[in-house]
Amino acid sequence: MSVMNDNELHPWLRRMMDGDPAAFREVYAATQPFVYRTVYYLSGNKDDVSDIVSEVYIALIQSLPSYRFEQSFRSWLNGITVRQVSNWRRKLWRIMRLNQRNRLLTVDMPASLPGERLFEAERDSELLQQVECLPAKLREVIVLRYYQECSYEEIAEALNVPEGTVKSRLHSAIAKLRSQIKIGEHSAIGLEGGAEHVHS
Amino acid sequence: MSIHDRLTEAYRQSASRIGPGQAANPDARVLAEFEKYAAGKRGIRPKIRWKPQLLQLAVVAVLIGVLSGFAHYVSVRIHDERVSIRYEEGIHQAMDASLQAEVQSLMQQVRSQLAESESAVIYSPSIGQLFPELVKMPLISVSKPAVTSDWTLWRKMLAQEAPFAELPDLSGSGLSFDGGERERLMVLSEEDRSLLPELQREAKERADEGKLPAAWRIRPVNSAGGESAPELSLQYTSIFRDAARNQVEIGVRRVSERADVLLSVGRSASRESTNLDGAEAVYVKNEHYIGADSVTGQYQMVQWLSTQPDSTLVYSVGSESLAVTKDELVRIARQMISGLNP
Repeated sequence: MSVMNDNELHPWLRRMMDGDPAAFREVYAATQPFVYRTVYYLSGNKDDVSDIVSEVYIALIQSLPSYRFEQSFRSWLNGITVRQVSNWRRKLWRIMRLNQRNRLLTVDMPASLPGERLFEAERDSELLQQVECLPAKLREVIVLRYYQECSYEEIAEALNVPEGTVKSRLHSAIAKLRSQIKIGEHSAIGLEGGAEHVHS
Repeated sequence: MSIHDRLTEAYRQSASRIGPGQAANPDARVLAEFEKYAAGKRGIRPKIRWKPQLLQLAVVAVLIGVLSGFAHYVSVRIHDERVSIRYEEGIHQAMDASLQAEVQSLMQQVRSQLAESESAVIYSPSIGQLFPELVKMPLISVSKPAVTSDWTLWRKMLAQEAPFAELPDLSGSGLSFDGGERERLMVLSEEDRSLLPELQREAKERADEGKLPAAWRIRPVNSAGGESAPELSLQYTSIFRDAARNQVEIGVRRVSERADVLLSVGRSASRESTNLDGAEAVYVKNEHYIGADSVTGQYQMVQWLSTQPDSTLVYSVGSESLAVTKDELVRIARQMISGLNP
């Protein structure tokens, strides 16, 4: 999947870094769908996606002076995205608690508006739902690898971890998924003989 | 097809259906941030943005009428820049009496096995049946508060640990102190969620043995003595008796981070915004309360926010007693507000 082309983005980024609002809108338009979907897949609560996306762009603007043109913009942006989703998860006091003294049930997903419920109804395959049950660190590598189709190197750069850690997390994630959906029972699919068939 | 190909294909298909929604254009905060950045590049001081007045008890409440397509679906919300609490009727909330009793009993069983200040995560498919919003992640948590019945000790503890939760002088209100409770808010963490497959397996094994298909885990406590859950907040509840010996609770909790809370109330619940001497508040009466220690099965409260420079205080005056009236709760809330803002 072709996500973002650095060569096409760099001229706009330079203008944006100079404070050109039109360039910012161009960069936003070019990147926002990918950021939105990445956040959508990473976040636990789909009602927060738009808010988190805004946090990503605020962080991007604040981090602009630190961007170096020799680095991959996609990896840099992915790093910001993953951190903001993680921050949101930590910050957000939400969800699903029966508070002894609150005396009212707080449920996980805010009741959706009609349009949002359709959105929810179009939710994905069982496989992607299983991905959502993975711990955040494993979910991150799955989303970057299989949604964004990033290389190990790009994932490592985005997450600021060694490539070996990326491979290890990916292996763990796949193993957990296998376990969850029991695809290991079928020899024709999954990790045959434990070998990792990860796209290079 | 390998799991890798399946994942790639699943994301391709899914991505084609996921639109940017409201985020298709940068929102005002993002544009303002870029404006600030651009102004900095041009050497221009950004425009001064007036902050909302931070009155000691500035409360903003919004009544949201709502919502197209669901005539019965009404939402009330109180919020400030940090905290939003919505009180909504779950669209599909099925307050089935037997399910309600089952879940409540389960909570009571688990709670009875907790030590003070502990909390636990409970799994049961009945939770998903009772609240279809939770069907994919039918987990709830319960906790057991630390309790003290000594008024002097309670006040001393509040003064030392949580001065924000100290109460104003309520003499003349007819209330007498009955106890104080300090309780962690129960937040479902990533770690809690990751327990789901394991709890499901355990519940299935129990079902195979003819037992209730449920399972639970006490949350681990970290080396600092706190639970390994994110953003735990403490609630301090002072419990009083009114002249007729009905229980009235005054709760205060401080929220420092952004919080978006949905309180799902039953269909027969009433909820309305009300004004307490200038402070917007919400009155909610839930007739299907399923808290672990509920006796009457209902709960009513007046709740409002107090916006502080570095946090938001969430106040509530509530009672489970059927004999306590809304007017009585409102009267106590007014006394609280005037006492906090002399």
